Amino acid sequence: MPDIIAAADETAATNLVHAAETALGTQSDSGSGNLGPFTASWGASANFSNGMIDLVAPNVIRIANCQMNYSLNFSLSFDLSSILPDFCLPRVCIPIPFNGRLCTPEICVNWPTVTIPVSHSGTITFTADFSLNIHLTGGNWLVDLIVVGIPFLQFGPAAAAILAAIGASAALILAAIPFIGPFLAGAVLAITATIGIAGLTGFLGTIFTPFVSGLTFNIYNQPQIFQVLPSSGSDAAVNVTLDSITAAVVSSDEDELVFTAEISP
Amino acid sequence: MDTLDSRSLHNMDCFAQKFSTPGQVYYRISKAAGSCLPVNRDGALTIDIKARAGKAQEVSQHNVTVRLNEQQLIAETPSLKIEAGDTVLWNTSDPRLQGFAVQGEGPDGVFDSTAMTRNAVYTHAFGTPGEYKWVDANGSRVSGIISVRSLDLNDSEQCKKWLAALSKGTLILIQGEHVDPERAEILTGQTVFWAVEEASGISITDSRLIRIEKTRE
Repeated sequence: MPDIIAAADETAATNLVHAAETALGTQSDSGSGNLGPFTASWGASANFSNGMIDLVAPNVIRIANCQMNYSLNFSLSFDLSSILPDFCLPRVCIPIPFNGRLCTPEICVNWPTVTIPVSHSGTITFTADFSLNIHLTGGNWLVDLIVVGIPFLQFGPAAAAILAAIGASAALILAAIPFIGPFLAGAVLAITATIGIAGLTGFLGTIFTPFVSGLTFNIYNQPQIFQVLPSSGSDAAVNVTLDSITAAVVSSDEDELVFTAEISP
Repeated sequence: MDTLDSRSLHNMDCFAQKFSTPGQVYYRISKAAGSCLPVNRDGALTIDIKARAGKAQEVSQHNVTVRLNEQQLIAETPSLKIEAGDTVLWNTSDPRLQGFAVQGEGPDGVFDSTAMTRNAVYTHAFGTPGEYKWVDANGSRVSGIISVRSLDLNDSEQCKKWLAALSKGTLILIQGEHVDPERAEILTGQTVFWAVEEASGISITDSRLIRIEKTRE
């Protein structure tokens, strides 16, 4: 018979997870990767909120409709020559009153390398199964929920929005490039078509999957040795050692997350 | 870069000067700063102007390409031989070249792309639509407006029209403080020729650059 038994129903467990989401805070990462034929350097951050706990005996804690709130900044750099045709202004000759005829040489346009910055933030809702991991670390007993497998993140709508943002940003930046006017619409189309929804979905997956792969929520943290104060003032405080902690999903008249502890003085 | 300024020539610009009198011309190609310094004849670029052999012959145009060689501006033909009445045109095909000026002296007097006096031409191909008010950065009252517009090239007819228009230039003649025409309308990519027949040493400069310079002062 364990010394201590505590139980949390699904509502209480949901509150524990929400507190753990807040404690986890915002995670950030940065890097670079390929977006279609373009190179993109990116910075991303994400935090988690909401979700409802569904306890499934014996050991599955499902968080349904958990929200990953993300923010993504990236910039695409590429040589416009890779998507635009070579273009030269022809030789232009006109009569000059004091000069006979003057001709300019053919002048070729060198398309520059451009950088297109894009910012996007949004929310992705996912459902994932977690398992319990109870461990003693640094003198503290920790009860963690660790995601099982890699949750599926549905990036389709976000990808469409980001692709539109890339197009808008590209149109704005390219419009300032001399001689691009006639090619502007085609250039923007070429950029967005080359990247495509599929390319962007893969790019987002590469960035954000690490945020949820191995996702861990700490729902309980207790020093192994803690002081217990007497109920009356005449006795001295004593230190109690938590020798072991177990946790499991128990299904009776309702599903509960049950913690048990063994203690010694 | 789409800078309208004869004081700082880029790859979309040309500067041309007609040389009417036989003799020796010494000139330099420099970054725009330092234009008031005299031309040092030692190591200067030269143009040898011979008397024209026959009156009936047509005058010629000689093109000099300017480029960067280890941070130094060089003319690909450092010593040129021409005949009186010929024109020399300088330009660069290097978009990285951040502005140059041509200044020299010869039997016709001084010539200077930053302060054009006579028989000089500055050309600029406009790459961006908009309205460009040009002025003389050296203080005279010559000025004008170039209105640049783009066609819708998704329309194949307009595209053909645009391609045909690219080889047509627009002439603006400057005599003293008289400018003709004062306003010109062109399409993106077209070239405007400012022909300075006689002037007090003028530049052709986008008025917005003058405002920036005044702000800095």
